[in-house]
Amino acid sequence: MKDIITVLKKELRNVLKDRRTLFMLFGVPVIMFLLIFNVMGEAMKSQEKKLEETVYKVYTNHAAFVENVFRDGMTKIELVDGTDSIENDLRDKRFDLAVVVEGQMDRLSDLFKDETEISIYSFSGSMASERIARVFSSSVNLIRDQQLRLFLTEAELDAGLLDKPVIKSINIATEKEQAGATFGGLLPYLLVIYLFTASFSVGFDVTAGEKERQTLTILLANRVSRSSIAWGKILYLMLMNILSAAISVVAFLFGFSSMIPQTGSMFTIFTPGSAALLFLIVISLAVLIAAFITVIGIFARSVKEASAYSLPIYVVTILFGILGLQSEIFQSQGVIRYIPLINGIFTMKDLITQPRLDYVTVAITVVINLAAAALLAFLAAKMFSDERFVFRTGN
Amino acid sequence: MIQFKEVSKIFGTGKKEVRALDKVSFTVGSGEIFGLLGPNGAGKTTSLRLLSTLLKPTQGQITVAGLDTVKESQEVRNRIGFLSSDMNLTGSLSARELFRFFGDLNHIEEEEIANRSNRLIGQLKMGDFYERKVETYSTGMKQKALIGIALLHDPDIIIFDEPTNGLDIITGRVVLDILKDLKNRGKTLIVSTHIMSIAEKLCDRIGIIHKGTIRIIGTLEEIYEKTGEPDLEEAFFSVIGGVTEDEGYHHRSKKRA
Ligand SMILES: Nc1ncnc2c1ncn2[C@@H]1O[C@H](COP(=O)(O)OP(=O)(O)OP(=O)(O)O)[C@@H](O)[C@H]1O
Ligand SMILES: [Mg+2]
Repeated sequence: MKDIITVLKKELRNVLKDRRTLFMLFGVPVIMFLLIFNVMGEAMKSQEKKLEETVYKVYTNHAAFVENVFRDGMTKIELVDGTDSIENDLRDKRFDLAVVVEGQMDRLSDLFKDETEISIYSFSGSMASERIARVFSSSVNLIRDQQLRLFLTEAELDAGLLDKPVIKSINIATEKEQAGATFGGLLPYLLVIYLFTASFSVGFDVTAGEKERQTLTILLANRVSRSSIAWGKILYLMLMNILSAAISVVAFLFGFSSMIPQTGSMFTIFTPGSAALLFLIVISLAVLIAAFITVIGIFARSVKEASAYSLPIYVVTILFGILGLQSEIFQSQGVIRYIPLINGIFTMKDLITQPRLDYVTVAITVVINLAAAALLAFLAAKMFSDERFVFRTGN
Repeated sequence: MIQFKEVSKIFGTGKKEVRALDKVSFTVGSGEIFGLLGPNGAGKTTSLRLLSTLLKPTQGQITVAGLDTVKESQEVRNRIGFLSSDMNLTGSLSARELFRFFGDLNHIEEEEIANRSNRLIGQLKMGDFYERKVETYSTGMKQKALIGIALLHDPDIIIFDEPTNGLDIITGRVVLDILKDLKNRGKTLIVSTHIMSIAEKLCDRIGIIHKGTIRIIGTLEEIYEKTGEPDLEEAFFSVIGGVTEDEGYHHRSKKRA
């Protein structure tokens, strides 16, 4: 045990003095997310502003009607004269909207004549065109309702009928549950991705990298037991995994909420109890990933090879993460809770989205992951004392 | 103290099989400096890795102070200090911090680690760089730090694979002085080299190894006597059978393999 701590402390001391690695691990994700989301947020805002300020070009064969529809002045339009082909001109953005009215329409009441037909042409390849078409349709509907109201009143009928039936939408989800539904899939997925990131740099560096740089044999020629070496490296990697995941995820969520303000509510999804359980699961996942990466790192001849080996597992994990985020095909209470690594994603999701905490599933998840990690650590210790992996003899 | 009994080491299987050592037997007595002399690829590094438990013999047995290198590897490692020509130092720690780490790993008291570190830093003349990150060291500085690491736990048996590899004559002399000092303190040393002068100046007994077998073994005088040659270099060539013939043979056998 003392030796494990010694190995762990040495690796930590080494990385703490290595500013570049520290910056790559912890600085870059923070800067990256804050930057990405700020740029994206700004872009979205300016896009919206632009759409509001745009003067839309409209072609129509019935200028009076179109001007009437837009008479409130909220949306500015400019009429374009003449066209050879509505389709071509729309596509070429000579105008954003074309309104073709068929039938004689002199008054608004003519809207209800049988022969009246209004064709609205838009091009969904352009945001401006889509938007102006939407605004136009809904404005026409409003005008139609107003006309109907007039008719009904003139015929001395109850115009209030138009407001029937009364429809009320009630969402029974609490604020916590709504936020949970949004982040329930996202958070576990992000956590698992970022639990891997430190592994790829630091994890392979202290295993395959040490072999490549020929520093491993110095350690192996010492009396220290192989399992102490394995566990020291695994615990070191676990710490780095948790730290980098925590920092990345917090940076991501902060960046996200700076773009979409209502995400502030994400912090309401946790109770102290569920946060503690979540942390337990994260630890079990971090140890498992650390042990897995250590085994791959000892097996591989070089850091490059190690990355190539671990990529498939990483991709499968991400795929499951996406599935977990998108759908409800998998229930965390099913067989899935017995599959190491993957079970963590689903259990975390349930922990965040379900109102009642399922202690049994959490316990199974944590125990399975820790057991798998212990198995891999045992394997890693064996591999550290096996010349076939240390010196790549054999083939 | 050290005993190789009919030790063979085969790397790989089938067509890729390399017989690095073939039934090697020799002993090194307590307090002796034994020199393993041989050309490139002779099996020196392999022998010393076997001795330091990093490799396991395919056949035969190696014992260190009566301990088996396979079955009692941890106890063996406890008694040896190993330095190999293919070891390298990298990272942000300084030599002093690495001494501290290996001292901790060997369960040495903190105060004692500091004492021994200071002594080694003085002996190895590391005064002007031991606080710097090892990744900034030159070859010679790294070699000194590695020697320090190998000696920190004050092992009885010292196994140095080409300890003066890549060193200038000044640094080489520092290392040789340390080896002599270790001998004077009653340590057992086994040193591999392909440099005749080192073997001549330093070793009590010499084994010449070539293509995985020990060709001759004995004190300098015994080797001169057996080969009828006046110095070690001539004896070396007569034992391994000349340069050109040998190199040709070597290439052919490699192609066939
Ligand atoms: N890990 C390995 N896998 C396969 N073959 C190996 C391995 N290590 C050594 N060998 C082979 O064993 C033989 C002896 O190598 P060794 O490194 O022991 O030689 P050496 O005497 O130390 O040579 P040098 O003076 O060049 O360092 C060589 O033919 C080498 O190719
Ligand atoms: Mg060698």
